[in-house]
Amino acid sequence: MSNTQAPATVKKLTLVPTRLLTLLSSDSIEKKVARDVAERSILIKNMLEDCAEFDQAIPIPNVTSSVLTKVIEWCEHHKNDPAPAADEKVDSRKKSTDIDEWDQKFMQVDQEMLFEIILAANYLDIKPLLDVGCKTVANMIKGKSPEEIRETFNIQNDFTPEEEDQIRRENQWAEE
Amino acid sequence: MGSFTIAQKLGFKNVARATLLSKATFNSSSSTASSGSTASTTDQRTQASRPLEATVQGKRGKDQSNEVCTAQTQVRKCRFLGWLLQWRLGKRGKRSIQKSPQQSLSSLFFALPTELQLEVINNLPLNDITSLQQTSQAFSHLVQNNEAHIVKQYIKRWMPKYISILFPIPTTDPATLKFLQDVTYRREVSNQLAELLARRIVKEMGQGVRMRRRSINPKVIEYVVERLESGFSPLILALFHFLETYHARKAQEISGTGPFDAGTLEDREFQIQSDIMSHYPDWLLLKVHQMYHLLLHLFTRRLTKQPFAFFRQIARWNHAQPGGIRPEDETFAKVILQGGIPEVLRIYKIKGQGQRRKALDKYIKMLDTQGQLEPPMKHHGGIIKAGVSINIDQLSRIWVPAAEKLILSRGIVQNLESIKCCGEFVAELLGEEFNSVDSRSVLSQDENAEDRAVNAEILAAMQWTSVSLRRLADDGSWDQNLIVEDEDEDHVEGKEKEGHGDKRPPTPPLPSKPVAGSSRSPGTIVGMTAPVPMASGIGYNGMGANFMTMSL
Repeated sequence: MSNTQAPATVKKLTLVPTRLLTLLSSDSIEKKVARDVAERSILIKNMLEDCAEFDQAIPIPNVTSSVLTKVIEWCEHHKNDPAPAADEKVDSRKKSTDIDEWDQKFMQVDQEMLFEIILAANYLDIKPLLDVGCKTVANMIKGKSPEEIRETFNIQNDFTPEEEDQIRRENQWAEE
Repeated sequence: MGSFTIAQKLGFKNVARATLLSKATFNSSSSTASSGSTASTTDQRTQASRPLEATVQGKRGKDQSNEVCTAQTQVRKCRFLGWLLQWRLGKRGKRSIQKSPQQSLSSLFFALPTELQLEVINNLPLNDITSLQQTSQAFSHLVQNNEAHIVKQYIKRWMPKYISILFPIPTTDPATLKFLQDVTYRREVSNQLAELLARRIVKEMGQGVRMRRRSINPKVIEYVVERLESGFSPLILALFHFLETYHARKAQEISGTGPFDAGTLEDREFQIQSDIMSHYPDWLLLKVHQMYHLLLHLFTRRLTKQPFAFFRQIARWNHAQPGGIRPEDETFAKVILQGGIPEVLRIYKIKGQGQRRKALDKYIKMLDTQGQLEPPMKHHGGIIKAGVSINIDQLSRIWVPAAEKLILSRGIVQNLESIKCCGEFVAELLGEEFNSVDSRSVLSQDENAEDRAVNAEILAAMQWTSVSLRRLADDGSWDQNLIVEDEDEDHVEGKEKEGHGDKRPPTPPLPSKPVAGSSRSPGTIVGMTAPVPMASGIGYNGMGANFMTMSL
């Protein structure tokens, strides 16, 4: 892509055949990462397309090194995934419980980390990772009664009895 | 400069994403990264820090007091602001990340930007969304405030395409969860009925198979059931839609609010029916037409006392009440029109011939005495209005005439004879042609099945059943196999005690034949083959005509 833009870059690229990029996390820790791996992030990909110079560290200001490591790990594993089908039907038909086994293991992290990953995926524009993250959160809700969800999420029932009654009546069919 | 441009890009992306946290952190990082290009940095910084302006207003005011408006102080001020923001947000960021052990899932969740919160909700099936709504005000508001978006996404993600043909999102007001619930309820009912019918058919196919082969792999059975079910279900849903819309339209006419066309009652009924059907695409119309016959056939049979009982009950002949073999056409018309698919399902589901008949009688009695109908499930809030009774069409005038006319006029088939009979219809659903309509469950199973041997077996069995189905349907032998409906389960239900009055299964005197005797006798629909089913009193192909023969 960008190697066609400036001869200087081409030279550099040939010197570094693995095409390593350096990412700089918010806590100023550098991570070396192969370019094709980093390009799972649409944000970085688009950026590299436009920018000739990428020999310097790319700051990822919102993502701490621990989260960045995790995200890179995911990108490494999924670097050869086919691009998402243009035909959205295929995707939409997939049931949302369908999380790849590897991804499930990958997402077995503490809750803070999970949400950090979601935010990072959103920021870096890594749609599949974002999906996996959101599905993982959704699976924490799935199949639970309101009371169970409250327990999981540690929230108080702040409805008045009347409100609660009304909501229940509206949703009565679901309890069949 | 290189890294600065990158940071700038990140920053802009960031602003667009509008997460407060990211904006400010970016701001700080860009301020450290950049030493030149004052104007653009300032620009950027003010843009990014706008949401936080209020919080730093005090500091700023202090600054402003001794401010001389030169470019240099401007830059210094900006740098200071950047530092301040970095400091403040650094703290905030730390709080969110490192003070973790006490953080509850809900605070983490609500810390996400709304678009991501919704992304999570979009991954939930409807009943979970409603559960979520009931947990707390915050969740309730989140769902309520974004109802239209959630509904749209939900339909896009979870509902197959045909749903939007049958139940388009109302254009008048924004889509509500209520709408979604209504549609889901209808799908649920249709799926249930589809599964029952599919199991019935597969079971009977199995009986056919057992005569020729030793056994069938249960996996094959499941596969075929699933395939049939996913084929039936949209068609039953379409019937659901048709029947309830028809009911609503008729009720409208009665109350005088509907558009009144000139003509006889029958003409108007015909008109309304064609009108509803005109929205169906060709493939749907034809298949629903076939489905209607299959459904009616299986439903009727489900309520028909078994001819085989004739042999079993010879000894009881003298004690048995001479009951009808099957309920009258009018009964079916009532159930179908007033109760719709939910009522059909409810009665179909009941185990035991006698129990079903009782339930049916009870329902009819309720209709007759009250003259009005409580919908089977009051709270589902469906379109079927409570308390409106409509005049009941003759069974032969429901669906069939209007559908036939439309099918012909659209040129979906050359002539009515070429519409496939029930057996072929089922075979077709199992065959390749069905793939083009809706094959997701089948496909995914193919993909996932690890055991290739089983897969091969399934395919072989499919081909075989397909062929045998066609053959069975052709020579009518399937119908005879079909006749032994429910023997097993009904034994348990104590059907034997009910006492069947099947005195004359083989020779129905065709009293109602004239009903079908119009120019478009329903008998012609399915290109019926043979007197074989007639002889048994229960026709499978040639459904329409035999339907009449069955009514005594």
